[in-house]
Amino acid sequence: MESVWSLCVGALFACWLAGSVVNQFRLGSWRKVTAHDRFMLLPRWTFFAPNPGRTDPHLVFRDCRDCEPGPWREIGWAPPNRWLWWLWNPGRYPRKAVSDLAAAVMTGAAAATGSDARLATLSPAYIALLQCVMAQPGAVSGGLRQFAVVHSRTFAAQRPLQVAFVSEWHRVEP
Amino acid sequence: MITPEPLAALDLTGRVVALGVALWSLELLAVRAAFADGGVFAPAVAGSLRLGAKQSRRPDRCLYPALLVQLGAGVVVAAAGPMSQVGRVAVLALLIAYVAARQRRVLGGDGAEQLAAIVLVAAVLAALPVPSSTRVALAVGFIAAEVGLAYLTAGVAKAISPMWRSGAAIPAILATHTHGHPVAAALLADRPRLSRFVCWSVIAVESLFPLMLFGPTWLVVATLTAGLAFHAGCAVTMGLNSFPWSFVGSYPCLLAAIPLARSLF
Repeated sequence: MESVWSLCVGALFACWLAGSVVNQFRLGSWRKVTAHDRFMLLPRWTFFAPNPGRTDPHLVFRDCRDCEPGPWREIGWAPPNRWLWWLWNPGRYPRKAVSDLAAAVMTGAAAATGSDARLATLSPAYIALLQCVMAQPGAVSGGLRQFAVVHSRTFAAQRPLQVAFVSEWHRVEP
Repeated sequence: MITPEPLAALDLTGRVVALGVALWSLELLAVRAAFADGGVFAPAVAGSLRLGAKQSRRPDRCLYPALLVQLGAGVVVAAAGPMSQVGRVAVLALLIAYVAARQRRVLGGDGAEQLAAIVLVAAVLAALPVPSSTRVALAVGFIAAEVGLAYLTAGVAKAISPMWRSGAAIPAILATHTHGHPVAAALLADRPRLSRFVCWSVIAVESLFPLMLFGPTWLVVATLTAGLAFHAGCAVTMGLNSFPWSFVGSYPCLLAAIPLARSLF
């Protein structure tokens, strides 16, 4: 019985390792397999390559009342404690999540051009960001809300900002 | 060269990774506001990312129990070891809780978390129902192969990147708020030769890392020391505090896999 179990475990490890190797390449047909990787067990080990993120994404939104757009507000998190973050860095989770969603939205927007431009608003990442934005306080029932992804870089106090993506206006459900 | 026994190596790796996973559960509890409505991990946000999946409140009721089990079981595994009688039950509970919490979060994961999952699955399969020398050796070899693949892929991906080869990548990363540090950024700013040296050092260490499985003792010591320094540097300057637990924690398995790798090639 033990030898059968060992054989099964060995076969599982061999298949998993082979799948991990294949997953390092961006093969179009392989995406059908990774689409079913619900437990995220197939790793992709590129780590900041080939093009590392050089900017900080910020998620901002504004409301429109009486046809007048209001000021932009940022959905932010407390800045990290850089003296301690080698051990304790809880803020990395939400920051990474926003960064991943913003990157996915911009990739979708870049791919959907011309008559298909509005297809970007149907992407899971767009809808996820929209869900986050629409749940922020201060919304007026029946009013309109819009979000944007703004990029900043450097630690300078007067950082240059670049608008990377602006969403459509969305009606706040009563 | 003296290498650890596979059982001892898997035990040590399991303890270190379990301690890291326990710490991560505390970090997630610290940002629990992000899991509430309006947060980036809110159920509605997670549901949006799973097109076609049935929207249910059930996973949210599991989140906090899963994180608490992750914390408790992680501490037990770290203390007792994944191969002990108590540790075997605890490592299974840790794996289930870890996967459940990760499923609920969906977003914001990294490679360290993936390697931790790999280590935990390998430890469970090696330890249950009772540890066997064959399955322990397979688990150690599997973990070592995944770690070697991780470093090799990361190194090659950087080596083919013009930005990394030119030395522009690390100064650019360190100048961000997300993964940067003002002191480190200032150190590399306007020093292209130093930046190029640092970028190429990372490329070299990562690309050549798997050679330690086949090289002489001095290469093994030099590679693992460089790896340790690399992850410590990334944790201090970039806030990548999860990577030392998973990657450095897997070094005992790399050492134990050396005889196996040399017998194969």
